[in-house]
Amino acid sequence: MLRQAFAIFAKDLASELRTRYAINALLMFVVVTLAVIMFSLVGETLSSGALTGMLWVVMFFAAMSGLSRSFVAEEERGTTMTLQLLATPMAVYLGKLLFNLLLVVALNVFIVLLFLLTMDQFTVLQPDLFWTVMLLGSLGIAAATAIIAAIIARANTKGTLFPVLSFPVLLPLLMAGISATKIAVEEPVWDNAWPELQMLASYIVVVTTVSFLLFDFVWKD
Amino acid sequence: MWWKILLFFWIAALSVFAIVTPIAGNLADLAGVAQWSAAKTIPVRFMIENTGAAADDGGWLLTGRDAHGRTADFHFAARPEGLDAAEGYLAIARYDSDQHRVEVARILGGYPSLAFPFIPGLEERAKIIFFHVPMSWMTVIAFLVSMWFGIRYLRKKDMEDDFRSAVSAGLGLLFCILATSTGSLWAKFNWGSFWNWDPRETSIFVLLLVYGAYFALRSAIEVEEKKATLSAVYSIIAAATVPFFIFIMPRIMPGLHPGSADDTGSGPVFSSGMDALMRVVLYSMLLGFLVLYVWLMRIQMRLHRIKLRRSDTALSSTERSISHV
Amino acid sequence: MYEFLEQNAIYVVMLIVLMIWTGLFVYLFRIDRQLKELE
Repeated sequence: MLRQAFAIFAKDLASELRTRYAINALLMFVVVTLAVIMFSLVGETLSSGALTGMLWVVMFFAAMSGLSRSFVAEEERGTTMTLQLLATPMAVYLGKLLFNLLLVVALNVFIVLLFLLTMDQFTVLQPDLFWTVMLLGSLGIAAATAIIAAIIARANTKGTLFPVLSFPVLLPLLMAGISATKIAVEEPVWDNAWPELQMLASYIVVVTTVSFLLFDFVWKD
Repeated sequence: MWWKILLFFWIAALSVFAIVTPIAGNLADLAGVAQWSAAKTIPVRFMIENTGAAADDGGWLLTGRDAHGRTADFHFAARPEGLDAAEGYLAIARYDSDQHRVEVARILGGYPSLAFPFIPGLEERAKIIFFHVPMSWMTVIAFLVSMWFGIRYLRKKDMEDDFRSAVSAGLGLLFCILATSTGSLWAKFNWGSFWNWDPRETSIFVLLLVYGAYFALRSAIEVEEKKATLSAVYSIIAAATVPFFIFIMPRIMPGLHPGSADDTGSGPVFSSGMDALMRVVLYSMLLGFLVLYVWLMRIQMRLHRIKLRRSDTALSSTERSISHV
Repeated sequence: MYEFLEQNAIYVVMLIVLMIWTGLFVYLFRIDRQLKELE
């Protein structure tokens, strides 16, 4: 099963690297969004806490615009049936999850680096906590969006439905993530973020487990 | 039939009881209120110890005693007619901290045998609890029922279960809208604005979004079986994240609702320390709305069965006409 | 209006009860309409 999952992951990665459909669109999306934020903030002095909110907004919408690709592309190319025949549902889910994970982590690292470079008002007091939160946040986003992407791939209005379905599910993650990032940015004590970190971790565990249990129903016809 | 009439009288009687029953404080409440607002008058219950004497400013002084045995001087503007020493009274009063006596503005009536406790800051608005809290509980219950029938559908593939799940979600949406709007109006009068992003407000808002997303998903899929499966899966995923809002977020984040992280007082509104009478009324009201929910559910199910039978007969008649040709 | 409701808090309670009844009635009307379509 793990070999199958890895094969699906490798296939997605190869097709992505060949067409660069998602990557190019996402990079442009991030650059454009950051540019809009930057020139709407010219001359303003914003606290790092307020900029944290902006950072998460960019991360959320970037995820919303790119992460449904993995399943929707299968549906569009008409390869869903082949995958259903060739691989176990578990392997498909795991492969797609791995691909989404890589995509989100890469995307978020890119966003954060760009954000740190362009916003000189944005200073981080605890870089180690900051990057931990970013990593946990990315894991959570990937875990929650993978199953929702699988659901909306079967619906008619795929593009608009994805953020609608994702937002309520992602909100606990967003709230805990924003709160923990604010602590990393503004307060010098790691321990203050402990409840939020626990919540992020338990969120990831819960969502991944539930997704594993339910993916069978979504995938099989 | 009889239980529907009983249900109507149950909810109606409870509503009337909740609205009519007076709020009655004691002398400690009065002294407490006097600390943060000098001009505040509140209803207090007291017994008269003796018939009193004329005060130096032309008014009348009595000694009163509340249910906890605290005594205080009660000052009336003029000699009150027909006040009996033995009887208890409910009066609108204000504590005069300079004179150390209670100024009585108006006698409301005899000692009420049933009264809700005086909660500082809520006062008469404490009665909203009986209407607002059942709405938010019903929202969560309807959501859980919807998820439960979703799970049952996934296991047994019975379309009836899917319909139950959808109907429960519809009722949940109704209760969710009611909980949000009543809570928002209450917040305007208690916390100063219609919406404050308190953790519990956030959680009810998320439930509203979940219900919205659930119906958006249902309307976007045409194949009945696919619609049933996917909406069941979505409601389970959403239910897995809802506990974060309802049970964890409000307790680790500071907020305005009782039971929040920064709530040190946990006053009488917090369910474990709630006044016994308030608790009885609240739970009875909840029971009433629960039965109402079951009733509405059954009406929808009957409607659904009629619809199914109709489409069946329509289908078979077209089949017959086709076979005739 | 706001001051009146602020001082007579019992009317706020009444308003909230009214809201709940309105909500339930709107729901009943919707069931009624569905039934009418069937008839």
